[in-house]
Amino acid sequence: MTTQAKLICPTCGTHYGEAGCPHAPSGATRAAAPPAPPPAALDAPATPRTPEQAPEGVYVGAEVVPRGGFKLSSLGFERSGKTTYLGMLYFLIATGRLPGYRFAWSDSLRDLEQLRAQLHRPASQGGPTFPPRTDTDRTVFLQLGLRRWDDDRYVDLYFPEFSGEDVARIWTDGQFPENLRFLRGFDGYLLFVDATASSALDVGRHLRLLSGLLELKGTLRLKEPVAVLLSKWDLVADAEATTPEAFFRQRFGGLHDAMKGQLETFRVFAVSSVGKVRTLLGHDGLPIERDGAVLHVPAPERVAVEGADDPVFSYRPLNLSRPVLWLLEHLTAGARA
Amino acid sequence: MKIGTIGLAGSGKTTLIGSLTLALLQGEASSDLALFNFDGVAATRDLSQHADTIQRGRWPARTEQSKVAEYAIRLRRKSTNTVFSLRLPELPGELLEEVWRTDRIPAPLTFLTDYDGYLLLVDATLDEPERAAAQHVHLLQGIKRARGHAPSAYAPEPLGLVLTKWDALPPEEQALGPDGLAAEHMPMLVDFIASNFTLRRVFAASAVGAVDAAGQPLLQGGRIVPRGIFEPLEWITGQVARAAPAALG
Repeated sequence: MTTQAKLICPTCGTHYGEAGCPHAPSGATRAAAPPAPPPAALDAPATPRTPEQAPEGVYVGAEVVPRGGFKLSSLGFERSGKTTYLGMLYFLIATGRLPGYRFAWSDSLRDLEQLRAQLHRPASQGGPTFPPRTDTDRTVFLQLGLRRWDDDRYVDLYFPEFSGEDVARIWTDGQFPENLRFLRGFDGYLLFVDATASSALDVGRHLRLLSGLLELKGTLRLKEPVAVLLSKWDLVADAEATTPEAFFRQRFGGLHDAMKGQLETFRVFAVSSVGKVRTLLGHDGLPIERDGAVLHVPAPERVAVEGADDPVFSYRPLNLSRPVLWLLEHLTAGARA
Repeated sequence: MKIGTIGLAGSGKTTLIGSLTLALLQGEASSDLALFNFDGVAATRDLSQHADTIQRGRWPARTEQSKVAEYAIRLRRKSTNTVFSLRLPELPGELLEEVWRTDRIPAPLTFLTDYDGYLLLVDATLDEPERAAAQHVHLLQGIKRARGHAPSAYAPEPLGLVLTKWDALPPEEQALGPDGLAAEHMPMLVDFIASNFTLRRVFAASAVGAVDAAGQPLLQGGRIVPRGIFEPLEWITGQVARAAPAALG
């Protein structure tokens, strides 16, 4: 049986390719699923140290398991704003502006630099753009290591980019696939919820993700703190008339109820990673759509710099650092206790 | 004692080594370090050649991509009258840039992972310091990992960040000082170093002091007048000597 025939599309709620579903899971055409990528290597092979052992040089990529600190991971489906959030968080950290913490390590520098370059693309090259939609064949992990100024404590942040196949597996089987089960050992989670996607199917998908996490942790009530990030808050029409908590209760009521019962500690944050956005218009003056969604691009303020050809872009994100800092404060307080 | 002068292409590694050699050959009086002798024919020949080129007001030739060498110089610390052997590598920056692309320290450079301390040379006049900072971080991560240090652990090897071509900076940027300029232009690199190396310091250096209208090293009173080239070496050799006296010799 092929993967395509077995899995349910998390977007349409039907089997892939059936009942008008136009989607296919990533990697569905392969005869067999590829081996799981190393989750920043829980079982790292011994790294060669000498030229004799490594005639082609010494491999220094992501293999060693970081130890000695908290581990946080993001969770969320495609288009929930994880990648943009990570790109902006990286920019914040790279410029030394995350309160209380400084940059310490990253096994994903090439990828993160690409995200930064897209979000800060010069006007002469078309201006800032969102990172392209992640559509990976394999679940990959972007990582950032931080060190706290106060006591030098080390923290790892992991941002998995789930493959379509892994997302479909969670939705279909209700379980995290084997290659994601290392998330069991993490200390806190950032759950991304697209504030503009609150259909019954969307709520159901998040419920499934939550249940899968509880099953993964082997518990009925999760002790680890969860920061719920209502992403794309800038696109919520009535954002100023409501609080994030009230909005979450109103639009994602079932998920909120489930969290009340199943999570010991969670907090809802309204997040806008880039602040203002603008809608891309076609030659006919109408919004451009792709995959049924209107296309937006970041609209940061342009600041002219004396002597520079291109303006500098000044983003005004909302709550970029607060969810991470809340989780870290919570964990630190728990560790002290 | 092995001190790795590392840096990407164009960071001024060869010029710094050549300028150091020239100053040693001329008997630079202001430094606590003095020449005892060169170890081997190749070191004497190549280093003297670089020094001679600079003395004539020319830049030493870029290191060929295929050339990797390790030069040994015996230096005498005047204050203690002790002699130690200093090993400095000469390597093409292009090879180091492979680490960024491949996550692999190329075989000819694996010897770098055994060094006692590192001087990371960074061109202070870089146009895109953010991307360069990421590349330098990646390189240092690679060396640290190859030495077997976990990301969450501090490396005991001293690391000096040397901002080269300092004379080419406008006065307002020079006024920030090396620490201020590094924090302003490369906060990520500064934070990374603070998070991973216990022994660290930032230096400003100008291997030739100034350049003429044609962009060539400027002879001032018939001599090249470098600035800040001994300070990083004095600091790092002092740190290594304190940490591991056995490295002397």
